[in-house]
Amino acid sequence: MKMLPAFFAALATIGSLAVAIPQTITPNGFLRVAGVLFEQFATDPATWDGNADLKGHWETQGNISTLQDSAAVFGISADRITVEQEDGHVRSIRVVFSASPKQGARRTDLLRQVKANVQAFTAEAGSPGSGGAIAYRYKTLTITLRSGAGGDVVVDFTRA
Amino acid sequence: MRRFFRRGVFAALVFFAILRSLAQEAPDPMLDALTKSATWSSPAFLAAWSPPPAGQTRVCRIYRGSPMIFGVQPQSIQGWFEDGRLTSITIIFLDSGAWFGYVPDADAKKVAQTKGPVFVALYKKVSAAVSVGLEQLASRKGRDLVLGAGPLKGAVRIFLQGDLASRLTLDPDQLVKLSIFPNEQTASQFLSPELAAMKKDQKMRAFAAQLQASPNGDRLIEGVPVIPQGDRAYCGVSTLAMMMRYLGVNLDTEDYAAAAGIRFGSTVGSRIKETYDAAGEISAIHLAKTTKFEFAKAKASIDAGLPVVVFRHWSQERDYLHAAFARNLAANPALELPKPDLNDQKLWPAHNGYAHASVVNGYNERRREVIFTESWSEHARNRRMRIEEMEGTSYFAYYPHF
Repeated sequence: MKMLPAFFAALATIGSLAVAIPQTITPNGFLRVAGVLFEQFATDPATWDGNADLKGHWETQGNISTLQDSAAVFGISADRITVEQEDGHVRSIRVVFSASPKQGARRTDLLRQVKANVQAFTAEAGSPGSGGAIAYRYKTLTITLRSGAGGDVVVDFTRA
Repeated sequence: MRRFFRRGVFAALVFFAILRSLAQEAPDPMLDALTKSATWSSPAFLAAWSPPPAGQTRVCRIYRGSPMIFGVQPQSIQGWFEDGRLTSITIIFLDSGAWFGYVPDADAKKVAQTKGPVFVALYKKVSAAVSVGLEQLASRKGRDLVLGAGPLKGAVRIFLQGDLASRLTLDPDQLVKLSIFPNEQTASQFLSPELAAMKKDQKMRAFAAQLQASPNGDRLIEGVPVIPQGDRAYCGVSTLAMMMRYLGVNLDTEDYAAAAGIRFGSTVGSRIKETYDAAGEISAIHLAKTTKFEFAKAKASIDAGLPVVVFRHWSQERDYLHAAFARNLAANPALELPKPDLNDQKLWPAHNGYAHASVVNGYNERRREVIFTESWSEHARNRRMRIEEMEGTSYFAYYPHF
């Protein structure tokens, strides 16, 4: 009998809740410009071989370029993405997920969220690195995941 | 030499201008396909559709040409194929959802006030042009019929043009749609004549035969067509269209959206539940419902070859995990989804997050997984989620049964 009110409550709400999302939810400027997910770009050997321009829009200061496009990385909206280059070759890529993003609510369980999705992407459990970091091998790269300041999460892509 | 070069360049320009003009004037084969069934099997016409997804027998493909039909540029043209054979064509001349795009609840009133009148005027123009054009093509007025049930009950107009038949749907200030069928009988009813003629036990056997059992424990219905919802608030009605097309109902996402009252791109005040009930009535298959996903009920439906629709809370982050997992599983069958412990549950979509609908078309009880498909693209077919997560994040579900 207790189920009955719940059933009717659900019936009443289904109309307004049922069809709430379009096919594309979050702005992902990088995907639109580059045609690939950022993590696919970051793990593509062509990105690291130095012969191709970086996909997307970047602003360069010294040997650090900062992505100007919005991007979801591992399915999570990233707050800052930088690439370190030397002699035209990518040396590392860093993605920062902020626990307190400029838009949206504070993210709880961010580290766990990123970890779960990096594991899903690499199909690897990861191994402990220095300072509480977790390292994942993917193709010829190491993807390192660690906690940053204020609950932020930092992911580094480097050559293995 | 210079004069010779100039003449050569001029001749080349003229040649390309003629070629271009010929290309522009060549009639699109779709115009032929409105009246001639022979065109439906011509290689040139079949090549104009988006490539078929691998391994699927019943598919929805998009026409890649952009012909003007009755002086109107259709928003989309879809072809329904079975085993490579074109069985019907849906021409969407005007759909409110496609025209407005996704309108969040908070903007619904403002958008309706500002852009609504423009759309209403456009509807009048397009519906009149298509009605007149079709009458001219068929050389006679159409036959009015009332089809359907509940919110899906409405007037349609049946035309016979050439050796084909068509059904014109005009839903005021919402939808102008033309469906073309090989014959009048199919055009004049929503349920496919083949299925309508079957006895219950024949239908049960036919659907049960769709279920595939794999040695790894997967039990999967592969024949559910994916119908991309596009950037429209149509996941609930697109999943209904996917389930109903599989069950033999020749209606489209746009019909269900119109019936549900998804007006001017917004779902505010829509009647999804009533539309599902009406679709169930048309399909002549019962649609049981629960206020959360129940695996035992889903299993019974899927074992009968009948896919289930689940309404659930959704997040982009979790969606990524399910998609990536399904992709990697093909290469590494030993992979497992995260255990649904308390830590994992913290990452499940929150109740105040987005709402979404998915088709559950399989399961693997040994691995404690449901296999589900989204109304997005073939890439979103056969994703996987732990049964516990589907149960814990759902808020409504429909289970077809005989």
